Amino acid sequence: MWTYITKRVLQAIPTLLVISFLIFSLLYITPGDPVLIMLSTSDTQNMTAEEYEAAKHDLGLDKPMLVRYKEFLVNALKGDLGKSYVTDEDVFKTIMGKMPATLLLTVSAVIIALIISVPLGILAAIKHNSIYDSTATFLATIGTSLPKFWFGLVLIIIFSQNLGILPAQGIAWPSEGIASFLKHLILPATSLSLGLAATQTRMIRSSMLEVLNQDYVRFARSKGLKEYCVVIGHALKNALIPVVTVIGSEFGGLLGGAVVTETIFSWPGVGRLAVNSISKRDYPMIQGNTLVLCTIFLLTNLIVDILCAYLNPKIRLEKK
Amino acid sequence: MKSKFIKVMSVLLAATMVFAGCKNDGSSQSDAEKPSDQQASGSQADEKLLTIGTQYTVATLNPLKSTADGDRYILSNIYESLVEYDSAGKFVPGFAKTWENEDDNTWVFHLKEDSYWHTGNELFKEEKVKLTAKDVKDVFDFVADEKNESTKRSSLDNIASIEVVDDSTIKFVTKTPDAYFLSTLANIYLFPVKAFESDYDLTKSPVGSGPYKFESYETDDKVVLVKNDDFAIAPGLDKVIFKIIPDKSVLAIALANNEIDIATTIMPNDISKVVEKENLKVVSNPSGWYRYIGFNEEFELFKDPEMRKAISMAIDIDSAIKAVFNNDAGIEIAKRAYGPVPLEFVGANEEAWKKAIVPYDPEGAKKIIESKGYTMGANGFYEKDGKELGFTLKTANYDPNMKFGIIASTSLKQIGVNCVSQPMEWATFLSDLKSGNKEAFIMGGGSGLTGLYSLFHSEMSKGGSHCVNYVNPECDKLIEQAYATLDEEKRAELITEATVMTIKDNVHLGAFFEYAQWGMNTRVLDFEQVPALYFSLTNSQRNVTVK
Amino acid sequence: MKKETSKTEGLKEEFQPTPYWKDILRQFLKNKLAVLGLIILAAIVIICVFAPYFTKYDPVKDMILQDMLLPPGSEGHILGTDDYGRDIWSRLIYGGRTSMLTGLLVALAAGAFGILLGCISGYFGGFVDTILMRITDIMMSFPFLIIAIAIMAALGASQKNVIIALAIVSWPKFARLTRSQVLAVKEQEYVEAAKVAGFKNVRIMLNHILPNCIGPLIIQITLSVGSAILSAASLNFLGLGVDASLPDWGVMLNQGRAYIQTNPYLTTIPGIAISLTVLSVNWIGDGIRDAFDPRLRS
Repeated sequence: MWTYITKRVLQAIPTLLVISFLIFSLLYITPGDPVLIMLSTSDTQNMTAEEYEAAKHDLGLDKPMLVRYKEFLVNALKGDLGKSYVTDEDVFKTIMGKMPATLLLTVSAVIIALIISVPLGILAAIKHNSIYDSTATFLATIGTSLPKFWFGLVLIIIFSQNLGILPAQGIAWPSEGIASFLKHLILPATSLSLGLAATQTRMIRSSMLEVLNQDYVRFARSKGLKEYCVVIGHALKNALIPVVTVIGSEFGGLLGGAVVTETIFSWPGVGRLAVNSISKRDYPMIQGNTLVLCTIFLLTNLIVDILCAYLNPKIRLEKK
Repeated sequence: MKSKFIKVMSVLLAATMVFAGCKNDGSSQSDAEKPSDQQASGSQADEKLLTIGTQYTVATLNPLKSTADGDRYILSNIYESLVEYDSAGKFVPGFAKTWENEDDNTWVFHLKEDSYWHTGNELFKEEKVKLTAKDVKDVFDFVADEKNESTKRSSLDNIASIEVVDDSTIKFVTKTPDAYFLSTLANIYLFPVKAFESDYDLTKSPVGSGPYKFESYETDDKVVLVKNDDFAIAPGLDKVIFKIIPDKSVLAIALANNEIDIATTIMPNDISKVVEKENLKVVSNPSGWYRYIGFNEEFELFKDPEMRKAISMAIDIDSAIKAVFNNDAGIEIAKRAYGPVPLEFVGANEEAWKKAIVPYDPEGAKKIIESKGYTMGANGFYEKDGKELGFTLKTANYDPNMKFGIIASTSLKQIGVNCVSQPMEWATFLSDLKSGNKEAFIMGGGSGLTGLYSLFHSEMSKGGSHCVNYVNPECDKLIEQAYATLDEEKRAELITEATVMTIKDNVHLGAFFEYAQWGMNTRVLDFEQVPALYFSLTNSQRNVTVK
Repeated sequence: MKKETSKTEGLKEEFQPTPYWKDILRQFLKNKLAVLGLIILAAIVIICVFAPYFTKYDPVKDMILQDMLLPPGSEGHILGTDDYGRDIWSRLIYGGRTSMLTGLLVALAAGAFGILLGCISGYFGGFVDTILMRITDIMMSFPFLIIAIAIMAALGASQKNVIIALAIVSWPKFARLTRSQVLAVKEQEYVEAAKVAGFKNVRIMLNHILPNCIGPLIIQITLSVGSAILSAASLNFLGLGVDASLPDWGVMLNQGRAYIQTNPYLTTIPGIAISLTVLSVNWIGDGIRDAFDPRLRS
């Protein structure tokens, strides 16, 4: 187990190297020019060619790509991911400063998604081809067919504008009062969870169906165990493998930022940071974001693999 | 199993909360008394707090580098400049109380004697230091110095000398007469040069002499400013929070929900909702922003001015404006732009423009196209030598520009020109404009006092974000002359002449002047004076406060 | 869907002497919901393909600005008009052409590629697994926006490139899911037995492993049809799309956004169209899944 984890952690090094080079090259071929954006986001001001060159030189963008990559790499190895072109702030510090908000939103959304999808999925599986089943399928379909902005706006319109009971935007931390904290959290977390809940409901239903017909479940039933014990005790655990895998993928993705939800609810998270930095072509910030995200994926996928092995002891983590 | 899972999850959530709590304690102790979520208006005690919701993110708070409109709303409250201008292009006193021209090249400014650098920061500690003419000269020298890499350096090229006459008088001499010299000065923030000498990071925590002091900035979230008690005019607010709300629809809802007091943009569809509320109103930006279709004159099709004319004739601009800015409240959000200078500015002359412009005439457009040897093809588009008549119209990917682009391209398809409207990501769009990878585009801008130069002068129109490759030495000369003419009436004539020339050449298809609509709570006082954020909340013109 | 079944029937000859695939088809047809899904999907496809016979309006050129925002049920416009005065029904059925094609192709392409790599990765394990999984890690961490913009810069804007871009960013999810399923299945006795019997790896994967882990994969594929349609629209707004005036369900949804309160039908109509497609694809998917599950056949 520990050798396995060590091995996986060591694999992170070449992976991060590869991705740092890839993102660097990708940014190089991506059109868009940070200086141009910096200097022309204005309705009332102009820019001369000279100002443009000055700014470009200032950012070191007049150097060849490989030179810039080498500089980046050398600094990154020292733990310095560079400074944002836009704010001049340390990239890593900025990303980590946004992480708590994103983590809060993501964890809450995953919890809400589980609260919705686990019972609904189990119900749909137990009452296979019943009205519950169809309803669950129907809801899940809607959950994935309508865009996130739609859910977000509709929730805001209902709860902020019409009922006036929840704020439409912003974040509050527990230190600002637990009521305010929850009020700010509930809408964005719910709207973010819907898509995930939809997929998960279907996933749980499907794998429960598969498991419920396995011999060991039939055996448990024949022993006279209560249906409740059979479902929760025996079936669910084995049904969770695809669920855990998908949540793992989604969770990693969400930690990279739930852009649409964060934008609609003015949630100051990593997703908006990433999108803003892309739209401003803030190269150091984009690179930093990608590397952090890659690390997160490596970690979540490792955890998923370990969890899967735990859920199904037949899965071996490494070759004997 | 399930209970175990829940346990794990609750531990995770708890961990998040602890993490979250730590974060908050660490970075913004002073922010603990943030207003409770719902009521910006019902804030505690007598603290006068104004919360402004804005969709603009902050590009940079560096006074040497900032050029974006989105930064100005913050910086203009922290820093003073010699003069400020209201959005109708009239100059109002800033750090300079009064000014006069000794001759066309000499500008003398009489400065305020009661301005002090902000106290309570690492740079000045608690020491109250007065701003003098010497500080002003230092700033200009610093910006003009090439090694400081200011993005504003070249705007100072025309300055021949700066002379400190006494503590409260400074004299600028320009190389050639410059009608818009004051506008150059308005863009230079007076920052303490000392900061750069002592390695103080002015970008992270700006220190100026303006009516409000910088307190904190949380990236992409909010900026907090507090009152500067030393400012000559007592600021009307104790605290200003700029809350960044990127979604414009949410901006309107947050305003209606009393979460913010001012919203920088109200979309056409949200206007009636705001107007309906008793405690809310919309106010119009006092000057319009120019939006146009630019034809790349290096693209084969548009080398021919006749072709540009035909395209211009095919689009019913008036109906398009009505469709794009349709709102139930009946507010006029945009006016047809017959010419390229915002109507509030010197030289705008609708009468003259209307005479020069080609009228909407799709049949006439077809005739011109046919006279060029095009014949109608099988799929409803004109063609010549087997090549379909068409081009790509690039636009930014947001309304109103995108919507206008779709209407324009459809109108052209209707007469047989296969015009593809392609909304683009902003950064790619900008670099395409600059690099010349474009056929036609919809752009806004050039709406400042010196806009004409950046739109049409060959120096600027060959590169940069308004690049149409229009080269007309006669027009260049008129623009240059206008900019060197201090007499307003004469200047107006020259500008009108230049703009009429561009209209006749069909350089742009002038679309509309957009008047951004601001939403505000009626508890905000004195904001309508100049309903824009590009100017400080407290100056000789207005002193924004709340009931 | 039909096409695929016939293709799989072709495969039958090669791999399986028993009428396995025919059996599955029979099972599938027994499932009422699955057949209903197939009928709905076929109906949508037919209406979209023969769109000109179902409307007199051109979805692009018939823009009458004076008639904008007519509500559904207005004279001459059964579903009303949009904010450009274009007939919504006409845009809906023409738009279905690109949207359905994009949604289904992306889901199938990403699904097929992801399943292939996931299978290989899970089945062989070891070094192959490590490399493939690190590649998925890398692919998942790339910002979608950057990939989209870069593809546009490299290949140019077209519907084909939209599909390519979406397939590129969505396959890793399938790969990971397949891999985790394969890992669980490959230790089953029957797989061991097949190995001992000396069957070829390809045959074991195709006949013994895949049918036993297909359930979650089908769910993931069918549900991703909707999100592919939606993502295609967002690519359109990045400049990767062809022409913003062309009809497309996702684009229609996005354009209706500003009218979500004043004219909600602008968003709900394309929303229903997408939901209906996804729903029918899901039912079909359920049918396939159930047909594959030997334990459900009793």
